[in-house]
Amino acid sequence: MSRHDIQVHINGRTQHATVEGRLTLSDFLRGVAGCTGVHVGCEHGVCGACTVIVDGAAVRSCLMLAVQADGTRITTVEGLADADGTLHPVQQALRDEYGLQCGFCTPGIVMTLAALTAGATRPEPAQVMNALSGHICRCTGYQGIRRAALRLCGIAPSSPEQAHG
Amino acid sequence: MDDARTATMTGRYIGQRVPRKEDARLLTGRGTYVDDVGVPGMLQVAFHRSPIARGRIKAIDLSAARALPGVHAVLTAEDLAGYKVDMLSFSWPSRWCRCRCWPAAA
Repeated sequence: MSRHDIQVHINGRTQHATVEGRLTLSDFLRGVAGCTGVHVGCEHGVCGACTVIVDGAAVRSCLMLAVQADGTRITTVEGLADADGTLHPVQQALRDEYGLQCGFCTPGIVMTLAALTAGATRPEPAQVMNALSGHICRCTGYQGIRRAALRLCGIAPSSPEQAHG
Repeated sequence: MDDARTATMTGRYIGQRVPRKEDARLLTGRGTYVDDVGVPGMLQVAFHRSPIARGRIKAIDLSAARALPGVHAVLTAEDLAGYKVDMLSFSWPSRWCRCRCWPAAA
């Protein structure tokens, strides 16, 4: 059983920990750092629910080890909204377009869209749709997610009636 | 229902997009799902499944598992015999089935 000392910056806060080499980043974030907004669905990189942003890139935290995150800056879904509760534009778009139902897959989708829209240029719709293909929503609420993603690309959402189907 | 109340409900809800009350916490990672719940003294559970697809269980040696530090209990189907386990019984042979059969929900 190997033990490793790591230091990770999570949502602007520095976290020191001694972890086993086999500990996944998702289990570290949930169990050690207390970020239970990181949801673990499939534990093998398929569902996308555990997606977090590591040094600017959206990664599946179940496929990364905590030791690999040593020295990185991590943003989880808890770290996006302002302290006064103002939602991040991605969160607001999902809310406005009814892009969530039970909310389990939502943190991963939020982080993927946040990483894509962090740059100066707006992402292309095809690029965003391709990224969303890495997320599984078992409420099958994809139309709302799609409308929110298109809004982030600068495309005005259609009415719910028009967008169905 | 009187006309005034009907009119109010129509104006507020019917045909309107109503903001969901739970969205703010779900979008900011503050939902509380079962796996997020932690209580003092809570134990962890791990399931060990057969390494082969089909076979006959002749014996299960649990001594190594029970000897591990921190292990509170190692349970097999025999330990559950005294309990009513409706959820698991839908796929069991009928002679063991003590309940109505429940189809999978999803």
